[in-house]
Amino acid sequence: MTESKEKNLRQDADANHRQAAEMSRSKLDSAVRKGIGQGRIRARRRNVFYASGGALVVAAMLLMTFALLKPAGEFGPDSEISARQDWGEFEVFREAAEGDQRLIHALDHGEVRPSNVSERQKEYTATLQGIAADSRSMFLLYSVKNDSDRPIVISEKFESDNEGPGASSSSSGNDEVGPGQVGYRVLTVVLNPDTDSWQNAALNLVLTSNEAKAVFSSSMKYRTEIELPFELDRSLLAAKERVWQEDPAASITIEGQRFYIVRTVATPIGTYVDIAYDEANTKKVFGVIRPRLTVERNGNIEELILSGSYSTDASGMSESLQFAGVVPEDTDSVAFAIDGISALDPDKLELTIDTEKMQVLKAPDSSVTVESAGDEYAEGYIALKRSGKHLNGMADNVLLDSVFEDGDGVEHEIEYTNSKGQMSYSSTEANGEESTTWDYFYIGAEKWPQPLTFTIENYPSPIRQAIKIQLY
Amino acid sequence: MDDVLEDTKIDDAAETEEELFFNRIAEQERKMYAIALSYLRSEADALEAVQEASCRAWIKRRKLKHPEAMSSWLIRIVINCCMDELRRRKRSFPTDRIEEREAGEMKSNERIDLERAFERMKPKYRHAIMLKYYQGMTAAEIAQVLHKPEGTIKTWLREGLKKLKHEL
Repeated sequence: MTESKEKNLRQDADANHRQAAEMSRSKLDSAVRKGIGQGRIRARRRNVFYASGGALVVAAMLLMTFALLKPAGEFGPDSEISARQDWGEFEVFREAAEGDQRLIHALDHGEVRPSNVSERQKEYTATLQGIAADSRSMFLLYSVKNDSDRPIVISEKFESDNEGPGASSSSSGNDEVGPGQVGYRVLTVVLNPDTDSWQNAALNLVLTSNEAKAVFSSSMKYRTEIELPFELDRSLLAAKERVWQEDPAASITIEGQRFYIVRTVATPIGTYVDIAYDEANTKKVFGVIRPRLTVERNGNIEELILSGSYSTDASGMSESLQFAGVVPEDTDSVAFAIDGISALDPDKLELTIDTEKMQVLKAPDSSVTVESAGDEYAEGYIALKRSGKHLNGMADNVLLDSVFEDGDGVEHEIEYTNSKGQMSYSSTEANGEESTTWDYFYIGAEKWPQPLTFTIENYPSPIRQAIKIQLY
Repeated sequence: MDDVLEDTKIDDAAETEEELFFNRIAEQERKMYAIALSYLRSEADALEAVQEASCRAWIKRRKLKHPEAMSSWLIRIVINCCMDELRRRKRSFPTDRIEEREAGEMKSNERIDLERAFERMKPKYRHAIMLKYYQGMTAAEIAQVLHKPEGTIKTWLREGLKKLKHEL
């Protein structure tokens, strides 16, 4: 480089420096504070994603294996017993509740509180008919009457003034309501345990006429929004809950990897065990295998199975395990049992892929291949296919961190929007002990410098060791 | 009551953590801004990059294993934010609109030439030159930020300057 060119470069650098020095401290402070504030919110959204992605995937995959182990008891989840119960005014929700053992149990035991908040707009009447909640989750049972002459499609969400009130949500029931008909649906919300109260809580419904021009239009003129406000008092909910917490916390160690049972929360609609992985672990522990609660009461032993799990912090070091069924107050003892843990060495947490040649360059083992999922979903999607041994109660899916690095070392982050937010989808075909899993990831349609390096957030890597400890 | 006390403690701890984190970023904020300005050439965009970098840093704060490496870590995050913004600009503005935008800001010819040369340069060469000439960092310091051997950085600097000479 000639001296004059280098002089230009240095002059430009000096000008840049002077300009930077003139920026006021208060503006810089303000930018940093705003950024941290956004980070707090975005981190919660990220928890939301992992909660919904992780928990739903795990739940879906475990259901299949637990179907054979369905417990039959007076307080464990049992659809045969529930089918005989009369749900009174909530009988209309029978179809929407199908398959949800926690909700069925809540309805069987009269834990759903009638609400009857109703709102009519245009030709639609929406009614929040009942609520069942504890401090960790809630069910909102609602109906929509369609008096128009066209079918409508329903979408719903839980809202509150508090930031990040819901960790994840899912809904059941038919989302289409024909002319002159009433649709019954249930919104299930996993609540953020860090939120103290939910001010101005409301069920927000958006009703869209089921015509192509309305469904595909972004304009609100085809949509009707209805808000059904309700009250949710965390302290009242918590008053009905029992918490067991040992000091120091009980711990389980498998092949040198330790985790703590932080607390067990028994509520009228479910049971939760919060666990925390030891920061000193030499492996990354993804989760426990086939967790269950063994409950002894009056000489009878019942097993409560896992209905879902979700991370309770952004680092993934804490997890809340949600069990289907309740622990009665006169229980004699409760034990927590697992079949092992799923964990990997830190140096195996990288997955390097050439997405142009569709080749896996580095993975924890040779069971993963990559293919384009553009035809199946949309441009920018890739599919990871993995075949291997299947274990009861262990998630077979591969989860990746949302940040990946391109070949130039530049990081990219996948945005969590409704259209592309689900970074991972999964389906498993079990054939005896073998399973094949496909996970779909949206990496964007851009041509990134190759190869791309991802950080693995979950990978089936079992360390089997059956352990049972007494909680109560 | 115990629950309330416990919740209050958790809230206090969260606030303290946020305040401590703010103080640590605030020590680096002007450097972050200067780096962002060198890449983006716009005060408003550079401030936004500082904001976005603070956001990403908060989310990833638990991944920073060695607190003494915070400065390098923040610089890397800012650079990534700037590169994302530059890519977004490329997608958002067709070339003729870039010309118009630049003309409107009354920049000197030398500066426009430099910006174009940087745009055409491989990002790794650009990072090395930006950190050396605009931030006055040594090859060893740049190596720490970009997680590459010092020898590689020296090569990138040499290649980057060669590229600049060719482009200018």
